[in-house]
Formats: sequence, C-alpha cells, structure tokens
Amino acid sequence: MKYPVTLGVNGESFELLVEAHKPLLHVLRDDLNLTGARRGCESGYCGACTVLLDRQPVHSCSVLAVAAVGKEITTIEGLAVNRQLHPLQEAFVADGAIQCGYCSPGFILTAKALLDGEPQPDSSTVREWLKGNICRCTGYAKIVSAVLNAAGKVRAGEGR
Amino acid sequence: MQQMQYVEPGSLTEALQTLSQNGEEGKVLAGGQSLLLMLHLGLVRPAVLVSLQRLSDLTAIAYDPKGGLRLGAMTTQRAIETSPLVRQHCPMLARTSSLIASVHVRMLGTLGGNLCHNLPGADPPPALIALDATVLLASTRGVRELAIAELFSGFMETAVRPDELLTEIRIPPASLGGRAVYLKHCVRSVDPALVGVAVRLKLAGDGVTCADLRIGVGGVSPTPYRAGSAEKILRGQRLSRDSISAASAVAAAECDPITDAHGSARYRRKMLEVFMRRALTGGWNGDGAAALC
Repeated sequence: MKYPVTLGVNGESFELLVEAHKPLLHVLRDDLNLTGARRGCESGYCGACTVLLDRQPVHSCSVLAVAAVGKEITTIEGLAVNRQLHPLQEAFVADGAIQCGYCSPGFILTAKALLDGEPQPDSSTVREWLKGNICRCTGYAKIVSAVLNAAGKVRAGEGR
Repeated sequence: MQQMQYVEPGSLTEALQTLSQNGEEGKVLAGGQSLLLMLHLGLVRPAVLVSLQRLSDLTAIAYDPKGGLRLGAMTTQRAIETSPLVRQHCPMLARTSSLIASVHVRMLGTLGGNLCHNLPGADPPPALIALDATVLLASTRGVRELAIAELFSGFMETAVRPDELLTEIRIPPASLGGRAVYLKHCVRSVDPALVGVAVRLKLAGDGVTCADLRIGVGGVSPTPYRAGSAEKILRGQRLSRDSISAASAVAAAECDPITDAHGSARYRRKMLEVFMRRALTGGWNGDGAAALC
C-alpha cells in the first residue's frame, strides 16, 4: 500500500507516495536522486547508508520512509553551503581520509553528529562513534585524525 | 509484502485495539533495528505494521526505592546508556546498552524491541535475567507481569502473544545493590555476542561467602537462559578461584551451544567457560579490570 508522505530533507520539503515497507535509503536514492546515501550491506552493519535523523546518525536502510515523516533528514548533499565544503569534508580531503569514497558520506555524517554534540571529543570517543561505519580502503587512522583536525578547526571558528 | 499497511496509533488503547483486531497478521514496529533486517531478509511478512513511535509515554525511565527501576519499552538503547538514573542505580545495564552494535543502531533500537525479537547474541537478555527483571505485557484483555527468563521461549521466539504489547521493563530494588557485571565476547565490537554473561552477586558479611547470585547467559544457546546449576554451586559457599572454576565448568558442560557464521558450538562452549569465570571473578573481587574483556 502506498502512502502520501512529506519528507524534510536538507531543509527542503518533498511530497511523495511511498510503499509501507520501503526503507528511507531507497526513497532517498530512487525518488529524490540523493545518491550520497550508499547502498551497502542493507543489514544495519556497514554504515554506508548513514544519514542524520533529527541530527543523529542512523542507518537509512533500517528506517522506514513512512516513519521518517516530521523528522529532519540530512544527507551528505546537505552539508556544503554555497559550494563551501563543511570543515569535515575539507579535512577528509586534506588528510587523505578518502580513497574510493563509498563509505565517506557515512563517516562524515556520523562525525558531524558527534561534533555537533561534543565539539572536543578524544580519539577513543571518535572511534566509538565510528564503529558503525566500515571502510575497506584507507584504514581508520587517517579518518580518525581527519575528524580530530576538523574538530580543532570548528573550535577555532574556521568553520561552522 | 507490496500490500503491507502501516499504522501509527496515537494512544496505547488504540495500539492494543489494532493489535487485537489484526492477530497474527499484525506486527509491532518499535525502533525497527531488528524488524527491518527481518523484513529485508523475508523472515517476516506482516499485513499490518503497527508503529509505536507516537506513544511517547513508553519512553519514560523512572526510579523509586520501593518500585525499583522502570523502563518504558520504547526507551532507546542510547537513552539507557546515557541516562543518569540508570547509570546511578544500575550501571551494569547502562554498560550493557553501550555494548550493543553501534551508536547508529542504539539511537533507534529500543529495549522492548530488542527483547521481543529475541535475536541470538542480544546483550540485554542475559543482563536482565541476572537482574531478575520482569516485563509487563498489555492487551485488550488486561496486563500480565512475566519474569524475564520466561519471556524467551525458544530460538527467536517469545511468550508475547500476537495481541500483546510489551510496555515496561521492571528491575526490582533488591537487584540494584550488590555487584553486577556483564561481559560480552565477540569478534568485531559491532557483532552480536558469541557469549554474553551477566552476573549479579551479593557477598555475605564475611566478605568471602556468596550470599546470593544470579547468572544470565546469552549468545551461546538457542535462547538466553539462567545458569541455575552454576549458581547452585556457589550460593552459600566460599568464593575462591577453585569454586568459580568449578561453577564455570558446569555451565560449559550444561550449555546447548549453537553454530552460526560468528562461531562454532565448540568455540562457544569453551568461551562460555572462560567468560563465566571472568564475570564471576569480577563479581567476587569487584575488580573492574578483570571484568572488562
């Protein structure tokens, strides 16, 4: 059965007809063309499909689109403002925390939720939050240091 | 599956009526962290999904000295992990929640949802067994209270009837003192427990005799259970390396381990003995370092 829903994504409102069983991930990719949310394991393990739901990281494969009505959804496409990358995005590029890029949106969004709530996390807190995201190319050291460097820049007022 | 309906009742009464009307065709959706995986794998195909996300009454955490700790079934794992009340009165449960999967899963996954799916390797069941918790099951027929160990009736099965809703988890005041430990063994930290052992232990006045204890085991056998034989060896006895080893050996001998992608039955049995010994030792000497895996 299809339901009319209004989804708030990256500050915009979208009216859609979605089937009850459809995960948010599929609606973002197939209906809204927001392909930054990646289709990975679809089992709630790999974190490639991470989006922010009311500012907190969730696996969009494990959320029904019909259940996301009335919530604030943020995808990687919503992070840059006026073509200016978020400090986390800049840090991932500058620190070589990206190789194939498939997992990067998930890592960056998870890190954003962490820094929004805790601007000065230590390395073990960063690692704890990033447990739900898997990278198979870079290794995690550069990713953790990119998040810590971005946190420093946000604190210094160089970013948002 | 294409015809699946989705409803969001606005009150508990409405939710119970919806469940009563739909019987076996209805399925409760809490945080979705178990159910969506099961839907994706085709393990369940309900005609009606009954979402509880509007029932904000079910997210309360309350404590009073007479009633103990009460957790609404829709309380998220993240809320339990970070709750000052839970951390103060039942730190073992807060720590158990913090070991579940990832932050992502804990943001949405609920305690009630976790218990009602009874997935192999879930962390809260053994912890709640050791804490002698009970659950409230509500339906249009009334409310019944069930001991937590009786909830887990078989492999991925529970005693919750199709028209019932698990609404609350209660931890009695007597379980909130003493020493409590939960140890989890898994290969990657986001995995379910290969072995999860929870121990709550009370020492007698002499400081070496075990006045009482309760042990919950998850991940090993088809369903979580209370390790009664191991308890019996230690209850009223002097705690020592030898008595703890003996109890752990009995627990390993008596378990009914499963084999799956995470580990073999033989490995689970061996690890149960190791982690039972560590958890009991941690409960005995209060050595947090020994209790951490």
